[in-house]
Amino acid sequence: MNSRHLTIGSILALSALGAIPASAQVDWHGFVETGYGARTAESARFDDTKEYTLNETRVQFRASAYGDQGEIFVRMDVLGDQVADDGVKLDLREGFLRFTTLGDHLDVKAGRQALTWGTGDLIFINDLFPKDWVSFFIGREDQYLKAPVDAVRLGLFGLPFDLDVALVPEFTPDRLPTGERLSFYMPEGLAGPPVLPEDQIENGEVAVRLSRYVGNMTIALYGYHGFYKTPVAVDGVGMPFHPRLRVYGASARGASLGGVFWLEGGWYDSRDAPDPDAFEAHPGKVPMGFVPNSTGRYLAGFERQLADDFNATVQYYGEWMQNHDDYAANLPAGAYEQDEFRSLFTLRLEKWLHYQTIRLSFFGFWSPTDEDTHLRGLVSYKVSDEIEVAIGANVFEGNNVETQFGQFDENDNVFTRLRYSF
Amino acid sequence: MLRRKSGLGIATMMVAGVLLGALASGEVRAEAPAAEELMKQAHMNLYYAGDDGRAVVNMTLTDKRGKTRLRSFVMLRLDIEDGGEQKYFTYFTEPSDVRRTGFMVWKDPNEDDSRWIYIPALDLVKRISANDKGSSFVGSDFSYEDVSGRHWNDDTHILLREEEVDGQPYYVIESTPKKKDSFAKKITWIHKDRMLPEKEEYYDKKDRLERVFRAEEIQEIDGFQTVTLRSMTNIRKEHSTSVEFTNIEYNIGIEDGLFTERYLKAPPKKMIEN
Repeated sequence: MNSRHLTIGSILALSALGAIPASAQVDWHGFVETGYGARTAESARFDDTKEYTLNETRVQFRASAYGDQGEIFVRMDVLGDQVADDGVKLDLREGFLRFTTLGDHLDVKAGRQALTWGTGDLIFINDLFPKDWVSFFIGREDQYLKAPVDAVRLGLFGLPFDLDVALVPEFTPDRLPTGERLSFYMPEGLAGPPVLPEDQIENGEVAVRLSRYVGNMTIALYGYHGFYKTPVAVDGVGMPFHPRLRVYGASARGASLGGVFWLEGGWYDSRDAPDPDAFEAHPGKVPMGFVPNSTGRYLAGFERQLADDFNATVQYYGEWMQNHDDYAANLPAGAYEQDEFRSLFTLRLEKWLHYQTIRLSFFGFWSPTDEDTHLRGLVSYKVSDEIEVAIGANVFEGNNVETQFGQFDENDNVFTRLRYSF
Repeated sequence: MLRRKSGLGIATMMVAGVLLGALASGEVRAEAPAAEELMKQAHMNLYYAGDDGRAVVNMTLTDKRGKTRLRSFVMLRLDIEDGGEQKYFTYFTEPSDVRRTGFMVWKDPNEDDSRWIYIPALDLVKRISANDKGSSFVGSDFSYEDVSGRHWNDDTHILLREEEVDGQPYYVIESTPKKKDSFAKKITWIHKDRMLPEKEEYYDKKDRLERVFRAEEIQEIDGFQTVTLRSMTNIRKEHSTSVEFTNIEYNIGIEDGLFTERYLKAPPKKMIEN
């Protein structure tokens, strides 16, 4: 934590002194969990000694103290990860202070936190808060998909709409496979690991949402200023990096036809992408490296109950690439060419049995344009309020190693988790 | 109060019910209030007492081996219109893995409810499908509909008889769903003075008894006859749920603005303290 963060922290801590009385009661909860997962697909990268995709024990502690005006909350994991083989580590998942001020009009939540907005089910357009894709692919519980982020979140209420602003002083990328336990596709000729934007306040992230409940729907407008969350670009010397990004979007979510529907769209303004007109004006100039073109992204989803304790969700997601012709013309020979229009379908089935002690869950991604799929299955059983056991599997299939799920083709895995909550 | 009855008491009541029903049919029915009006009053007393209400709720689920599970939550209710729209907010404190989860319902008797859940570890507000009135509420024997109340308009009602059970006077009403539903028939015992539904039997389409609801304890709180302990037993599955309401308050000035995504995510202390 640098001095800038400390200053923000001290100001907030001071303003919170009034919010949380010293006498506030602290309550403690958490769980102990052990998880194992193993690769079931043949992989050229991993030999027998690396067959575990998941082999860890964690203890999570949650503590909260409530005051009249606010709350302090901490969620901390103590993790012994045998795959990473780096001893016992502390992983602060959340540690924030939350209070209400400005005559009840402003909510402030400052510190490490999980941030989520948008309407998609495991599809994110306007949610540019960091994800942990490694956890997602190896069978950790759903809460680990959201990587923690150090941020100040402001919620302003009382206007004709609600205004949420998330300020992230230090750019926080998604957590991606590193080759430690999952193999992934890396284009040839990369000169090194991804380079992050310099840690300067100008390189922080700002995300904004305006929302309002209208009729039977929540409608929202979004803005994001920052960088691509994954290192999708390569510079002139072959170093992967996170190019600058702005996103403008909107969503609507409401009830219809006995279920819930959602629509969301966003324009990904890839600010470092070369301007094709500029190249035409200077025919000798060749773009150095590679930066993705701007894209339009759109999503439609619907969820409804099929029977008691049985729900289904379907989604369609699409992406349109701007200047696809220029992109195709500038690809190196033999490189994989993305379609101008990319589409992805998802299906979720959730069934609860035996007084909701048994959960059967299926989630499938399928892209007809990328010709790849990712299937996720989970069966969990709550033996008691304290003890839960889960088994599951992740399956990846694809015709090309360059696609979102195709690159993980060799990472099919099965996993099991046992948890004791307290 | 049906609570005071032992197993024998209930059997006695059932026998008495049959006998009294046989004896009393005819002339009493002619003078009795319309069955639908009785159901409406009982529904209003059970689900619409005061303009708003708040309670700390402890739910105990018992399976056929006697193993129990516990659900604890704080529940707030605001009536937008008597007998009509309502808003509910539920904040879970037990078990540990659902602690801090919030659940909000805007109930509209003429349409599907609007429901939202907040999952704190993901900071996720999710609007959830609400045509599942028969789905179990948090794994209990109560369905969503049992918790927020089935509208009297959804069934046709017949006053079967009036009877005394352990010296207490009851109307006994048979209700049949107008559309195909999770039950085929329901028999309700409404106490004549308290005007509360104090026992309900749910039958399936083969006329087998499936579930039994009982108001086990009733207290007068802030002038309202309040069921402070209720139970639902699933006869075939030998599973039961008992629900205890404590710290009950009425007419405390709960504001409409509390039932929003903002407070679902970050409920103020006064809303959730138990």
